[in-house]
Amino acid sequence: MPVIDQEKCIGCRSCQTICTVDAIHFKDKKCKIDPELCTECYVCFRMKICHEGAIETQDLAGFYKQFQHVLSDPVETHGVTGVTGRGTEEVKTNDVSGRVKKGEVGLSIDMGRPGMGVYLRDAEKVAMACAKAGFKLAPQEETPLAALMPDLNTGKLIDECLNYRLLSVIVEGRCEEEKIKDVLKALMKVQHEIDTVFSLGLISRVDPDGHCKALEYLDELGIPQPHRGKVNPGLGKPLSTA
Amino acid sequence: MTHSLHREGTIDSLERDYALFIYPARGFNYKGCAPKVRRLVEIVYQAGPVNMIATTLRHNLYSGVRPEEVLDSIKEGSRVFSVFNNREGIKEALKGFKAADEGISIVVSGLIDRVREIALEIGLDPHTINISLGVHGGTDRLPPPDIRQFTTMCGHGMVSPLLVRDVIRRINSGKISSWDGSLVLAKPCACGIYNPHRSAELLEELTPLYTVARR
Ligand code: SF4
Ligand code: SF4
Repeated sequence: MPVIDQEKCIGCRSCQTICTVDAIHFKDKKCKIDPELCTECYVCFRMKICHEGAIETQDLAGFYKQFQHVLSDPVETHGVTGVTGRGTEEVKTNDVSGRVKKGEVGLSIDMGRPGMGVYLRDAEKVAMACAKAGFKLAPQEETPLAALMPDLNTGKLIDECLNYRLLSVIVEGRCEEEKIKDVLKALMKVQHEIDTVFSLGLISRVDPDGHCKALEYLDELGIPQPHRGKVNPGLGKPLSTA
Repeated sequence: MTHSLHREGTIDSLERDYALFIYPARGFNYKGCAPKVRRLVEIVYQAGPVNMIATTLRHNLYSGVRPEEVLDSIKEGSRVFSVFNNREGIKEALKGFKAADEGISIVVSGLIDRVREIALEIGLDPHTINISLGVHGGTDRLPPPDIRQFTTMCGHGMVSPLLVRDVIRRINSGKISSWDGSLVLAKPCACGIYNPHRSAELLEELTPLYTVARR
């Protein structure tokens, strides 16, 4: 993890402005990184912000520390999914892979975003609430969080990881179109039980007439109607039978 | 990875902000995709992106990478991300992709109606859509929306709210221009989709409303 060499630090505070989650604190005329708050995103290190060369990195001790870093730093590639960023292709390749099928709706629940960070215990709460409402959480081959989730049916994470803080992590999966209202309802409830935020993305195959059933429920659930989205215009050649 | 989905701002400002991704699918069409991706990147260049990165590089066009380095770095499985500040550019790129017919997945992120309109104009049938349903949870602890317009342009959250305030302060105290401030903000974005043109416009609008106080 990044640490500030207290001998070299002159207390100019430049590093504070670059820290993504305000984890660098100024005390006794020097800056220090709060290991409890730091998400291991390495922006302070990569940007070479310190003219004194006081910001150094130490080895990441153990699997969870490495997981924290790989998920928080988008230039790293996730070992299982082989994807940079937070390690998931979600629907970007859906025209080729057929991951989300007709009649299904996917969700990408971007925990800790924008810029707040997330303890894995909060990601667990959200995953469990969704699973209980009939949401099928994505497996390890598709999304990194599943590596910490021994039972995809419950969404419970390995206890040892719960107090690690990441810049963000995605709870991802899908369900049949008929179940999406229950899942969204569960999400609107669990949002009050977490100590962070999540940005919510809803994934759907495009109907020729532009219809998406899930949108009908939004007003009732108090979710604003969307105006931004990510469109896969279907230029990829299908290589899946889905 | 949904790093372009949740950009915030007014509809008017988002009209000048489209992210474009060239995305080979792991386990499906990685093998032999490098020349195809390279051809698609050439099409992107001709359409005039305002930022770009290949996943093989760790820096974007505003953090020390030259356009030809992006092209040279492409190998099997490389994904290329870019951003446009006008509708015509993105339409031009999609038209070129359609004609090239390389079979690699493409994604456009922007105002849904606008993107669908463009798809219709060039005869593309969108396959899948990922729509942003906003931010939920403890939203009262988020930085204010005007600061989030900048920070959400790097969806991974590499642009810190404190950096945005610092840049505003430096512009207000006459140390840098809005454009140079915008380039400072574009630097940490490791995905090359920070839109420095939109950001400079926003800085022009916002700086008079802020004081030069440090935090
Ligand atoms: S930028 Fe370097 S010298 Fe300045 S406060 Fe941070 S660590 Fe210390
Ligand atoms: S690694 Fe990231 S979170 Fe940790 S101190 Fe550096 S910028 Fe802040």
